[in-house]
Amino acid sequence: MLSNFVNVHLSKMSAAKVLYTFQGVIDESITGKISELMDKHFEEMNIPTERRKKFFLIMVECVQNVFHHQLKPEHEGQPFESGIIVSNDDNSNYRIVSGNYIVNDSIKALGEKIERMNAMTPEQLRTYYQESLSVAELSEKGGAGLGILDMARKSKMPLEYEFVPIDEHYSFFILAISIP
Amino acid sequence: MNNLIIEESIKTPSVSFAATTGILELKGKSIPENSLEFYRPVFEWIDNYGQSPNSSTELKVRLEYFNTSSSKCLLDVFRRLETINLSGKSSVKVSWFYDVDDEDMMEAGEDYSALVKIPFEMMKA
Repeated sequence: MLSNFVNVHLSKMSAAKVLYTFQGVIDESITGKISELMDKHFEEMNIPTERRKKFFLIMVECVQNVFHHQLKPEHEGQPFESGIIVSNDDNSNYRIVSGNYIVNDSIKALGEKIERMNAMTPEQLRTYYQESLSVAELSEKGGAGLGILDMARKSKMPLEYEFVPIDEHYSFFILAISIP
Repeated sequence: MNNLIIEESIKTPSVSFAATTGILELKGKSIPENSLEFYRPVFEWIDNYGQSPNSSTELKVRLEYFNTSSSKCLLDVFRRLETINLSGKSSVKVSWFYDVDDEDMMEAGEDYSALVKIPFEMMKA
């Protein structure tokens, strides 16, 4: 039986130090809470400003990506809820993992899009971003459809992802971004 | 016309647009979930300003960082300024300020300058 998102992923990250976890419906307050916590952490660790900025940008994008796309399946008793985990390892490489429901019809296109981005050079990602930005339209909730692309471009590391099948309508989409 | 003044908040930048001098400034962070709510009055002000703008217009962008929702609205700000520039009523330029070590903000400025036909001055601080 499937356990919940946070526990499943915490067990995979035993080598990493977990700094923050949230499980539930992602709302507009989460970025502020993570920022406050990480500000203290970065101060203690004496992390340079540019690394802090990169972390905050990717974190904001990751949380807002879930905010814009999270679905709440209509039937009760589903094993997962949306979630965010922030961790770092001994070398202060940060990692942000997010999870949210996705309709099965969206999986193929999203998986292919991520694979395409993972195969791109930084220069190709930049061109792809410029092209996507020039034709972007905001959704009703304010998403520009550029979040995952922006995270890939800024992190410069391959995106790790997984679609966990739930039922005939939904899967759970897990996305992990490394911030070296 | 009136100036547009909006105070900085945790997720939105300060806006200081002066119609008589043509100096417009955005400063701070821009990371709202739905940037359209914030930028709509900015768009409206620029559209009105474009009716009878100052002979020169300079937008100073002093942003620490912004999210992708804002990146789309910023492009719309620049496109509106491009329209004013093309109308011949005002000579428009953008001054893009970024920290010396901030590659992401430097590239963001370069990306916009590739997408709109107005002069971008890159200002390294």
